Amino acid sequence: MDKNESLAFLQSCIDSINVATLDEIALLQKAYEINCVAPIISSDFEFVHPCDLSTHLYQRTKVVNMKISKTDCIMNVNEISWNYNLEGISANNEQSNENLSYAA
Amino acid sequence: MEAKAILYHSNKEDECKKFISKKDYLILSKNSKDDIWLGKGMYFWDNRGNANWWNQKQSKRKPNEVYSIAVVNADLCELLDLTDFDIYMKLEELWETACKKMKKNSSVPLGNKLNFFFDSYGFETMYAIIKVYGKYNSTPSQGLFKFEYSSMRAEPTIGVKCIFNIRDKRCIIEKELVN
Repeated sequence: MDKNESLAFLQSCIDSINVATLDEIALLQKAYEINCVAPIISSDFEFVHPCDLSTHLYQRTKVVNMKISKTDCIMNVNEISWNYNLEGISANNEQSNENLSYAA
Repeated sequence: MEAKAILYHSNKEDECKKFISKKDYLILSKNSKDDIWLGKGMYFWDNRGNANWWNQKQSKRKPNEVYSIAVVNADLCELLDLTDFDIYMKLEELWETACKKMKKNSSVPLGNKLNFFFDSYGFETMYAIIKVYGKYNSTPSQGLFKFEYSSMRAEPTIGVKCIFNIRDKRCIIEKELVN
């Protein structure tokens, strides 16, 4: 099958769905539910419990310095200074070369 | 002309041996990350260097396991080529048309879309193998040619890896273990 045949096949799929009956659409919806809603069964997923995060390498990603002046405070405090070190945010959910294509 | 490709798969040694010895056996990936890749199937690299790189990563992750590399000669006559821009765009048109008709959310990962197509549109009779390029931005650019990952300039790069997913064994012409 060359490229033109492949494109012709894909166009035929588009044409067929444009004239699909309600029953045919219901079947497609069922296939969608199976393939696009239910999670793929995993045998290799590595769940990292929050308490184990310290054993994993993660980087400081951002430092946010917040200052709230007394005019912004609801409570009677002269000045509050917050210094947040937001470390390891999404460190284990980032897409990097470490989590790409675990299959080949 | 008949298109063919030599492809490499790294996995546990016993799995590779089983794949080689059994005529009908594919090492189907069941990894949770396949939904961002090419869905169900057996994944391959298109060169030995990438297969070796992956083999080393697998061995490092599970040092008690022994990993091997299997090689196949694959027929590409039934290839769904996601590296071809026209195919890539036509598939998007099909996906959006289907989702609109089904009244479903179209924002799902690629692997889920492909699984849907193969389950519902007869793709399994038309295509036996899928090809895509993977972006690997942490590949060092210290070799023969230099390049910038952030540049918009067209230039040679080694920051992509070609990945194949064999969905059906009929495209495998021959197979063996790599020494």
